[in-house]
Amino acid sequence: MSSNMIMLKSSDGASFEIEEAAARKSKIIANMIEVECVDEDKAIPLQNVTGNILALVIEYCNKHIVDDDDDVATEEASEEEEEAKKKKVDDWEAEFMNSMSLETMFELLLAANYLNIKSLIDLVCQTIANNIKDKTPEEVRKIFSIENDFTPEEEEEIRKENAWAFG
Amino acid sequence: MEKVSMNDLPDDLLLKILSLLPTFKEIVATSLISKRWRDLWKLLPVIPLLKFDEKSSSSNDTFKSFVYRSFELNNQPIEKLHLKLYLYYSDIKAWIRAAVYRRVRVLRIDFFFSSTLKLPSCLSKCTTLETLQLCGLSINSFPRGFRLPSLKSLHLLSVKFFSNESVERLLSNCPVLENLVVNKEDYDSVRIFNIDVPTLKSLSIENSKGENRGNTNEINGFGIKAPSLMYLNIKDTFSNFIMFEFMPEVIKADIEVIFDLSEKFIGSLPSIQHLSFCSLTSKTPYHRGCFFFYLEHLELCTCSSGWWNLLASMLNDAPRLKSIKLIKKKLSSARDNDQMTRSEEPTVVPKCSLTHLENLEWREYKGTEEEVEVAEYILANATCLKKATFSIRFGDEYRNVFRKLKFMYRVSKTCQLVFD
Repeated sequence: MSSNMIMLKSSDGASFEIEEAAARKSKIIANMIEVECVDEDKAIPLQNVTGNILALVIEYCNKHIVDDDDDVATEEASEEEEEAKKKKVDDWEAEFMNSMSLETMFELLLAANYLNIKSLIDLVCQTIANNIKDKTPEEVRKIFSIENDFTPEEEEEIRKENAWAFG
Repeated sequence: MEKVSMNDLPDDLLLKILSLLPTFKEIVATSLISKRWRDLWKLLPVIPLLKFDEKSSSSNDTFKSFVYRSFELNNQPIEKLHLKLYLYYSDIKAWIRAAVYRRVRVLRIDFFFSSTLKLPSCLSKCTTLETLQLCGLSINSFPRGFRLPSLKSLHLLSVKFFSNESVERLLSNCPVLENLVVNKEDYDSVRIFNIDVPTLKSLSIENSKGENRGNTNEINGFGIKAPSLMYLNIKDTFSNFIMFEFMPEVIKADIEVIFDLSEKFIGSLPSIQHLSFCSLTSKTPYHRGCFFFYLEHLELCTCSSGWWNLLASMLNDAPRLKSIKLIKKKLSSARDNDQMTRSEEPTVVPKCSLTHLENLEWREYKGTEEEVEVAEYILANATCLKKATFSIRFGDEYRNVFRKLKFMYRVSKTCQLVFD
């Protein structure tokens, strides 16, 4: 499949080439393409995204555009094949998220939010939520380096208010 | 450059993360993380799941007071209320009423010990409730004028009814019901479970009250009158009959029963595309003259003594059949030694019917005389067969069976033979 290529430029000046189909995963870029404010010879500047984060975003988009193509090609795939394919994507996503630090994860989430890539926002938020569930507030603070800014009295008050949730 | 942290995320992303926590309890517990998180949960547009599990909760009183207090404070809709209780107690009604007030969409009630519940009358006014899942309880009466006006999906899991009529009373008061799941595990007073729902699209029945009892005098079964049904799933090792009417919309059916299904059954599914069938029926379960133009996938269980008759008829009457899978379900393994009675081969070699067949899969192929004949017939007549898979059990005969299959005549030159 031949596709138009688009240039993206990160806030720190790095340029990336990406297939238009992959870039369209971002609602913002898709809109820019729709209203034809993309000059073929000029890179789209993305002021809020650094090069290393943009590289991750592009890796994600490329991976998912390939999967979408597969869907069209094997329209009549059996349920088992569908499941196997889904598992492959899930495994890739788990590995992808596993490979980055928490700090990178937050940056990636902010970039996905800025570029409006819904499935990537969902993926990162779910990964963060998985890190919160089954943990005590103390553990959550530690994992995410959040400062406890409550006074002991305030903390006691909240515990009382929502006693059931801490049982 | 400064390190990016959780605190740099805007509220809408934190709320998104909150909404992905599995229960309301875990969401509220985040109020202790820091000042920023303290009241964040109150901004959630929807509470995804409010779950009360009596087993793992320290005290009902704190839950109760918390629920009431949070109901007073906020008015967010609740997506799902899930109550897991030992026994019935009066607060249930208050909780459900509160959830109805909070526009609940899914309600699930589980009892560890079967207790009786009178469904609260406030549900009759609830226009948001789309899914009701009841598990392990008994229903013997309904409030006056009871109905579930917006209910689309109803799960009755080990729910005991007082009588045939109470089932009918419940179902007839769900005017837009599309999906019904019935799992029966225990005995109750219902002999004929009558499902008469004109809007029903999907029906799943699982009835495993134990092995079929010797007492055949007693009638036990289901009546199905669902003209809009599209998906039908029956796994029943107990009933001794099923009554049904014409189901012109059904496209997928998965049937596993131990009794003889009436001859009319498959014939009442003229639009069927995907059929999986296991019944001890020895007769062809449809009348001559039926035609299955849309059938593409057929899965037959070889535990019934008449499976070859059914397959032979289907080969004649399903011209677009693409795949055949022959399996042996555990259900009737006791009948392993039954002789296959093959009373008729397709009298006319089905000129058109095997031309679409692409895939044959045969589980637990043993290579008996009859099985060999069937395999020979299909391989010799399926002109477009792409793949034939046989799984053979290891044993003394393994090599023989394997060799025989390998040298069988295949009309399709591109057919791939696979053993596993």
